[in-house]
Amino acid sequence: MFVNGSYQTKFGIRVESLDELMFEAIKGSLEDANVEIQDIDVFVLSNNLAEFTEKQCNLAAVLPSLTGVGGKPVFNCEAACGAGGTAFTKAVKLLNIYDKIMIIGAEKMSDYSTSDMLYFVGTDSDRQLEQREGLIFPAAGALVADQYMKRYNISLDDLSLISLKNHENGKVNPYAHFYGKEVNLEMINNSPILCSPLRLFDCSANSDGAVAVIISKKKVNKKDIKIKASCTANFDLATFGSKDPIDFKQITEVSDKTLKSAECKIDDIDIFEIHDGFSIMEIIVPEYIGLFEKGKSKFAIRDGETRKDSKFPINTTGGLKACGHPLGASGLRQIHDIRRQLLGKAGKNQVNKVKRGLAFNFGSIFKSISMTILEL
Amino acid sequence: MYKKCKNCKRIYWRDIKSCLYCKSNSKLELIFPKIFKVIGITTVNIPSREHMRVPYYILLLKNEFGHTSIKKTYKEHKINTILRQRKLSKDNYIICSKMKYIKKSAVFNVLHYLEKKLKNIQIDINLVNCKPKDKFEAGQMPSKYITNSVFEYLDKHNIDNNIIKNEYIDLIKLKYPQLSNFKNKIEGKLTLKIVTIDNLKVIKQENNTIYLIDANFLTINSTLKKSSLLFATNNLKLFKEFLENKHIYEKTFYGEETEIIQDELKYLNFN
Repeated sequence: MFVNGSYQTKFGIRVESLDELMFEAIKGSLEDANVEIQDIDVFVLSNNLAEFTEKQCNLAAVLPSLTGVGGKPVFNCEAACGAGGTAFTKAVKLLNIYDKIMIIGAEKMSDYSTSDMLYFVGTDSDRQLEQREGLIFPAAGALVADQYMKRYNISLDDLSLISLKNHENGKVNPYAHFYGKEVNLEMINNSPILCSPLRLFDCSANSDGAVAVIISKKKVNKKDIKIKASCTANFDLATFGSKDPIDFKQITEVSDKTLKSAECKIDDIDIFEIHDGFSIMEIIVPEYIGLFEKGKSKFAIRDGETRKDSKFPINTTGGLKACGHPLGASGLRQIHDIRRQLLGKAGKNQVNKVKRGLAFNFGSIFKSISMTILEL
Repeated sequence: MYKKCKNCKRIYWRDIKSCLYCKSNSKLELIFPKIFKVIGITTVNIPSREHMRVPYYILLLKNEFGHTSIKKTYKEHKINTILRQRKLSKDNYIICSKMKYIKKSAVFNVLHYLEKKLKNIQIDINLVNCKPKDKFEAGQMPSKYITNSVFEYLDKHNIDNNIIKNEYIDLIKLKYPQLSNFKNKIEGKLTLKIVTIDNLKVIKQENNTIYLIDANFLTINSTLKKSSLLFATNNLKLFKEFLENKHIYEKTFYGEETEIIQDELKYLNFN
């Protein structure tokens, strides 16, 4: 199974509509894969909020209006911030039946106020147990951060370093929300506290954007990238309830399954796309996928080992933090960026000698998890 | 309140009937924690559509059984503070409890607050089904469900259910003009009345809101699917003021502190 082509629109505050963003991504991916739209057997569509932001349900039936292709299956995939990764895994499984599949992830978030968006996105949490208690996602991330920081003696300065690194990467990524924008430690440290202890620069930005990826059973072009494995799983929605609120063993469960399926070890991976909706996640996830021991991420961050020119390059194009986070598109953006790296087309974000890359995406707080490993 | 499988020890926050995982036939155990330790706090400084007043605090709590949960509050708390469900000590009270997946927990909550007083009062349960042809089967009706929960609570806490003086279950298949007659019936009784009113929205549409202030024990928007708040009071004047002035944030009740969020607020717009 191979990735034949992919395309990302510029993320950020876009004047284009959701339809226009999707169209741009679809057209771009077809050109990249050198494929005609009629050759696509199935479409998988990833979106989280169109019901609120566009007043449009059943996006699957909107797609033929953009492609001109009717009569083919379009599968919707909604899994909060993890929709893109989950849609990709779903498409990979569908390759057992179909030959060529296009996955499209898109979101339009800039038309509404922050308080509206917090509410819309907040519907991805448990209605009765969390939404009614005011647990917007930055608050959930903050409570997780607070517990994790206390247990493993992590400082706000550690979180700042993550944000700084990702903004340095995003600054030179032309597709990133924060492309060309200088963000320094002072700005990060002085940014307002949204939900203590998390500050503005610990949180990813609402963003507009779309990504399309084309995959097939067979290798068609020289530049096709192998899909070594792609797994997904869902877990009990409520963020809190268990006895240990920061025991995220479900991450390890999905990670182990994916690595086993790819027949490789975490040490075999050269580059990592880690879902950093909140900066603390870039500390937690690497520890649970086995990259670092528990409580040791902070040392790698302090030593600069997760920078793009170092031993464990994480979020080399800016992560969700600096690329922006159009919910339905982010998981696919991670896969697109891994592919760019593997093909040596990541421009100023390029990492040397990359053979294998990993994308880890999740929805809600580690509740809809997906992980994909790509290989040159 | 949540459920625990006696066999495999799995925890369920939803009101499920049996554990599909271990296929155990044993009944799920209801866990009703009463002691909570504050183990984490976040101060939320950004307003969202349903929570516009900021800052507020979200407490991460650990109960006496070791499980965690969260609670929104406007009061400042310190880490390691122990929160206990308090019994009522004052004469006038409004208790408000959110009704979540296990709706019984709201009934248990308010009765728990009332427990001291329960010894000295009689309960008069009047169930009012306002819609002539209700979509619920009698046994599934929210009002019936709440009544059953009251009995269950009394039974669990060894409180003699003789305190329930009268119980009118599905007393009236009301047509709206009959509401005023029913009002006369329940007036003049000095006992604590439990009046559950189903389909409150219908009453509001009919512009007949008098029952809201007569109800001492009242569910708002009480379909099983959407029921959201359960009130209990012994002071109708206080309760009326609360409802009419829509003190949705400022009031801290004896018992649970709560707020009514926007989608619930629309059902309280009596004017």
